[in-house]
Amino acid sequence: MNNVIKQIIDKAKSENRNLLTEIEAKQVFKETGLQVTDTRLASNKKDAVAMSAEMGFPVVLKIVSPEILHKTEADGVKLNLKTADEVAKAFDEIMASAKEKFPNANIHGVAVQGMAKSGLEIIIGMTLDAQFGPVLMFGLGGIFVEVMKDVSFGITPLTKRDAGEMIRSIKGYPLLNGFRGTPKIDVANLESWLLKLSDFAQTYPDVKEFDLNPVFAYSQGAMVVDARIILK
Amino acid sequence: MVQDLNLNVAFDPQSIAVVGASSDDKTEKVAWVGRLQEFGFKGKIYPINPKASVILGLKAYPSVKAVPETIDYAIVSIRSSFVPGVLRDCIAKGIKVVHIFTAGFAETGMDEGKKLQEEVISIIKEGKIRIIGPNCMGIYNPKTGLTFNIRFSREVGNVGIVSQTGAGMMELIPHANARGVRFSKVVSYGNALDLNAPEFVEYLANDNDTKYIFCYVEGVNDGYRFFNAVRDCNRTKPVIILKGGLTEGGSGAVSSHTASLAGSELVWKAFFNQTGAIQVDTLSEAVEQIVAVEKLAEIKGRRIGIVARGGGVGVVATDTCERVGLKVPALTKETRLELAKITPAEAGSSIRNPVEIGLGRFGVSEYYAKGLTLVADDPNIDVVMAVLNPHIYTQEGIGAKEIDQSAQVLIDTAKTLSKPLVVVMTLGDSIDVIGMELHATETMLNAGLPAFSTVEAAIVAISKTAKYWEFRRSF
Repeated sequence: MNNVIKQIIDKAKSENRNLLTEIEAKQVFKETGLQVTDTRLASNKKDAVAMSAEMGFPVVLKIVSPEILHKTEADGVKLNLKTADEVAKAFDEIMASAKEKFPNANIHGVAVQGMAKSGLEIIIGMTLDAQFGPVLMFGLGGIFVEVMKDVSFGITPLTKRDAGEMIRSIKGYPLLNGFRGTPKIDVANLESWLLKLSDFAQTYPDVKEFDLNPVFAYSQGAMVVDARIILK
Repeated sequence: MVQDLNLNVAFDPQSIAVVGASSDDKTEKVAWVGRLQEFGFKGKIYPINPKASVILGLKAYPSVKAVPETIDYAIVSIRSSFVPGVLRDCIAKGIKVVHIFTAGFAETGMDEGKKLQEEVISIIKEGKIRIIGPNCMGIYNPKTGLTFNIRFSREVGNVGIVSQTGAGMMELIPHANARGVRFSKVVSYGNALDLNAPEFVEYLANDNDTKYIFCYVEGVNDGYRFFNAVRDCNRTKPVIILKGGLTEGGSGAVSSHTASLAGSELVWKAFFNQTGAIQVDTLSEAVEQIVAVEKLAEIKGRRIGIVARGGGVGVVATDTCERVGLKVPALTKETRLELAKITPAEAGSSIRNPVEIGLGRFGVSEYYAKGLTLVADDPNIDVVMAVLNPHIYTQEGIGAKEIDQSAQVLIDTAKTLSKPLVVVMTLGDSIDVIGMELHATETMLNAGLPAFSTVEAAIVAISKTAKYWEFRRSF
């Protein structure tokens, strides 16, 4: 068991929260051994601007609140901010709309995040099955998961063979394998991620569900762009 | 893995108490005591009934505690309200395993039944007795003469069954018997208050008489143990599973994408992918699949050579194969040249694949066996399927003799082929002809040939068997 992860989970439980914030969830997955986008909490506008400059433009700002599960519903996401002025303006707008739409929400501030290099959108998740316990899900993100439900499941703990099968058994697999000139995706890395997440699911029984959505997968490595963890 | 000795007691008891044996000989003749006698159970039978002194010639006792000798196993078929008391008697008597045939527990949805079930569970928790059931048919073991239906074959085979349903097995087992399948050990375990699918699969995995396992499950309370039991077993003994109730359950309020997508059907799909168990959808498909895994040797690949009538029959068979993942490749030039020498001179006989070799009005021609051998020896082919439709020629005088002769040629040829042979003998249009064809099919099955009555059933069963062997080879 990893101490940082344990502390994050214990803190949320002590605060009676079952939803980790995006920043907490990303820290958990970073500790699990995945690459996550650099995401920091800015509790005021001045910090948001300073962090953006430090990370390098463009950046993304997102609302951080344990009560706001779907950030877009609060107009809580601003993409591709290229200057300090744009960041300052976006900070005010996000805070204002969040307070208006979720007046009772406890707002931690805004997450400042570097823009990840775009890649093939993947979703990886976990849920507890009533019969088999933690099961992992793998699929192509975006419209593929929303419309086509092109996903596969695996009962944990996964073997290396299981992880490979989960990836190869989705209908969209040719897209990972270099389709019409698109780069071949680093499938071995995704396999190793599934195995790490299988261990994670087995190690932390307090975790009820998680989504890594999206993950950008590249010809070398991958990046978690957004993440959500729900506790029991 | 350690063999559970209690389960040996259940499958091979030296003595059985039948609690709730009827004092009316006529009733009991077709119930548990009569069934065991009729089926040739070799151990001792103790009928338990406080109102009778003798049942079917056996001394009856008022309770298991009144029996002077030791008792290994009890079958309980009395009113559910008496079951807890009987279980306490069984514990006092030192009986290790009890099969509760009686229904009327939580499955009724009534408070009375639920209360009784709680009471039985608390007795189980004391840890002194193991329960099969309640609400189930128990055990069929032809080796020891234990059965829940006297129509089942008394011959011992190598297929084991773990089934939640008893009614389904009353349907499946006679059908499988008629297809030349014989069983090693069968259990119907019903409500599974104690012993459940994982324990039985683990037991059969270690049972020397059992080479193949079929499971019918609806739900399993320890899914992870079942998953491991099936995964471990399937590496050495093929496991065929019919999962009942595979529909999307209401998922309620869920908050992550993953939870909203994880229907039971998708998770069971993962179960089958990871364990490599063979999934079947119906009881009749289960019979066909058992025939295929039991009678087919290892299939080395998915390429099938079809020997059938030309035209549409072959075309449809080819489409069906491709649809379920089998390949119907062209035979090599060398094979085709050889086939050309033996196929009838008339124009149009196909020799590419499917192959048409003189099966006509005189039964199988002398070249038929040669043709099968050529197809089997082709390097592009992993398995051969011969499709025969003898009824087409009955108008021209073909009869039982020719049909039996065809079957014999196939039986003899299969022994010499370099690849596994599957036979389809389709059924004709009159009771007489169908009878002849079924007789020939039965002869082939009893000789160990995987024989089917429809092309579709054969192809699906071959495809799933090929997939199973791919899984085995992937380690």
